[in-house]
Amino acid sequence: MRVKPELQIFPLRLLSEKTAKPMIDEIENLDFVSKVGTRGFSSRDGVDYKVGWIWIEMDSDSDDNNESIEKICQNYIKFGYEIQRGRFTKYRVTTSDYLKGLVKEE
Amino acid sequence: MESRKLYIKSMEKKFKEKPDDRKTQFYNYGTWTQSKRKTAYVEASKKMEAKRGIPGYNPDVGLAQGQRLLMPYQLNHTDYIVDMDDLHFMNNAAMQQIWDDIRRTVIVGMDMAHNILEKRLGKEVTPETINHYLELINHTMPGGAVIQEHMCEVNPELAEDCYVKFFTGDDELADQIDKRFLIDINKQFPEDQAEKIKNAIGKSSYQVVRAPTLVGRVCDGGTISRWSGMQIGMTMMGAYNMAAGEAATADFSYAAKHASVIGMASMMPARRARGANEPGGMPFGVLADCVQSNRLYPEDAGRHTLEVIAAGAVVYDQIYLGSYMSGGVGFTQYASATYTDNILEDFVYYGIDYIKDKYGDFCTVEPTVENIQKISTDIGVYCLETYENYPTVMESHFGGSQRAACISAASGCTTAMATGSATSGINAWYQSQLLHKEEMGRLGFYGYDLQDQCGSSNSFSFRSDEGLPFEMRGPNYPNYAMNVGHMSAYSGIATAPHAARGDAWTLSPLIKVAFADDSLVFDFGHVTDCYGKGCMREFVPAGERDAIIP
Amino acid sequence: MAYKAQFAPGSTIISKNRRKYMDPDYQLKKLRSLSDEDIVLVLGHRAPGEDFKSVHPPLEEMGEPDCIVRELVEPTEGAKAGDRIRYVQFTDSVYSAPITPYQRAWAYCHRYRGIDTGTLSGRQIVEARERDVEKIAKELIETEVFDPARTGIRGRTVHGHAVRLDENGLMFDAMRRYIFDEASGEVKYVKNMVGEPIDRPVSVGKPMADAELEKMTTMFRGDGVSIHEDQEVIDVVNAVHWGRTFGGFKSVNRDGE
Repeated sequence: MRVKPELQIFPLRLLSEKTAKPMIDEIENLDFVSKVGTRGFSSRDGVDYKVGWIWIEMDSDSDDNNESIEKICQNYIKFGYEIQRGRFTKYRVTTSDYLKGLVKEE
Repeated sequence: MESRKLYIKSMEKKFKEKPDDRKTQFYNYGTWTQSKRKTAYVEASKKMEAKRGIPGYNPDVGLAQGQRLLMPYQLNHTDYIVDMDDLHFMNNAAMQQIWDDIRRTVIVGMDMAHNILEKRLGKEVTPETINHYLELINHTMPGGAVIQEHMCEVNPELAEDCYVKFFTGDDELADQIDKRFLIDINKQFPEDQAEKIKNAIGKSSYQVVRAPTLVGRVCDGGTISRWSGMQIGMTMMGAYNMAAGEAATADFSYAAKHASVIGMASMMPARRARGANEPGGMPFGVLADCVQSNRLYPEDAGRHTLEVIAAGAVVYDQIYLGSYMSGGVGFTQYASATYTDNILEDFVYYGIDYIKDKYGDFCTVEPTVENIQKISTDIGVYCLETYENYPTVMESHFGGSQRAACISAASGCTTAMATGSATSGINAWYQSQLLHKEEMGRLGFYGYDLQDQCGSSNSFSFRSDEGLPFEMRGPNYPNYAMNVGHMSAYSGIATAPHAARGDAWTLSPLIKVAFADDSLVFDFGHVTDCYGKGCMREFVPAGERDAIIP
Repeated sequence: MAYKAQFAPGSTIISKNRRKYMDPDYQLKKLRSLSDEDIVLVLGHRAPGEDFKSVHPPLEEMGEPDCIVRELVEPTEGAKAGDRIRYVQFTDSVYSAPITPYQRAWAYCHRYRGIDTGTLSGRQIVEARERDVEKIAKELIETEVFDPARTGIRGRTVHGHAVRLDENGLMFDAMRRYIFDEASGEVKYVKNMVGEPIDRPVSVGKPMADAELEKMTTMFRGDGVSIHEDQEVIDVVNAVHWGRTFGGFKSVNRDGE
């Protein structure tokens, strides 16, 4: 199973929906990006959410690819961010997926 | 001094191509929200309420797609990335088995029985008779009958994990023991460790009994030594052709059930409302000796310390305090803070680098108050400022108790490794807690530091009712029984100086050897890795009842 | 009394601020004004204008037994009236909030009577008779120990002290008790302490600039004032640690050897 590399974007402030959505749309449209995941904090009433982490799964971890992502970050995030390379999200099914009935076996 | 920054992980490895046997399976990764290749499971339900109401903690959702999103956790020194739910011991068969395997083990010395045979009954004990005994006990222990006719026996399929092995410090005797039953000290341990162990054990011999996991499940920890004692008694009679119930039988019973027995956990006072051989009665040093990385990775003191901490996190914090003593779902993240995301990893290796840099080698620092405070402060402030300088780390450990545990674990383990003294290590843990409170103006949950405010006083105090060398303390030590978020690190502090010095064991060579056994179900040599297998649903536990259910 | 209280060790701005907040002779600097009704709305213990509920008749009417302690200790106003015990609870961000949980506890114990205080890492609570706690809350919200962005008035669902700030520099609140009014630059509470909507927003003013907060805060930080810069603080911690260690070991030997 080939595990694709990921970048983790960690903005130093929580991003509002207004900032995050267009940014993530732009990232998604890059052709070397296969999956984008986010995690953040939402209010209990569901009205508000703030994005804390953005995980970008890429076909390959090249300098060009990383630069494209950097450019987008610089454009949208004005108060600093960290980018880390590696693997941050699950890439295999785990026990709790089975327990939640999320695994469909044909 | 440069930090290794292990929490800023770059897993720049190349993963091996494997045949894709998951083509027809599709599912939603808990943490992925937008996928270019949306599957049927990725529905657009944007907001989801967090289901689990842990006060103050908010399992969060981002740009949700009909999916509750969980923070991914990486298990320390592995490549496993899992969800928080995978780390609850109820959901993880490996975590269940680590405690099963410890509790169902009982070590029973054989010298007393052999003495009875030879001196009281005039029978000869030789390697051949011992081998015959071992073959017989491996029949009886899983529930086979040996003496009487017309007995009900246990289906072997229910007790596949049950067996009895043998070890001795006597090489000559070991050579003649049937290899199927022998825990071979020379084979399992590096040479220098093997020598130390054999010298400590001497010519004595021991049997290591693993009662069936199922017995511990239906009954309790206290049952194990009875189950074992019963079958040992019967087998002695069978193997040595004794009368089934002559006077000498009482000697065997007494030896097999009490005098020669080394259980994993002792009894506790009545107020704990618990039987014997449950986690509350297990000293930190015992847990440390169950974990085997010091013989597999003898050069890596940090690894052994961290593995013991991971074992302690599950057994003491999640299972004992989080379930036996409280129950529910609240404690997982207190425990997981010490074995996920390579944060404590970084702290401990920083401590190791610090020792090498400043003092040259482990166990060379005199345990004076000045040295203890200096090391504890330097490491403690490094950890505190790591949380402050790196918001990623601060947010991963969003609870003060999580930070308090990791910071003081680092201070304590480093001081223990530097001085070679676990007692100094635990004293440093307490200094670190006081410093943390002063530095941040906050610490842990309400009451977290109950034991940390008293702890400085009882570190070096060995009184009859309140004090022990640290390796011998356990959850029932007066103040430790109260609060979560301590005992995983305590286990680490107990073992750190021994790992650093290259000792073969922390508290008992007998327990160390008893768990140097590849037949165990849980892999005590690779604790976090085994948890990871549990998370991946790749771990096969024992005690399954398939044979008796429809 | 021959002993003059020192309150806290240290020479850095952090320590100076700690001493200020703890010292009851130091008057906390008022930075904003809230009306009494504002406070009542935010606390949510009673409706504005509503009488305080009682748990016992006024002490005068009750006729207390002869007791030297009762004679010595002047009851608080709330105790005299027979009020319920109510509370105010704050969350302080790790990002240089003015005051921190334990500092609160120590400050409260020096400044206020008739209180019970509890300290955690994510929240800090003070309980007192209802009218007493309203006075306490007013002072705590109006003065320099409160920052609109970095201090939260939260009764429950307190998560946020260790979380990053949002784009406006505000501490995250899952219950959205306060909003940031972009037009005026003020933080306004739209819900009370436990997250119930209130009839009208209560403004707590504009957040302070980071530069200001750095001068007011009582927390050491790796990216601010490091505790390493304040040796006396470390020395006192070590003195406590050593005193306790030795006291448990061989307290009869006063030489400390």
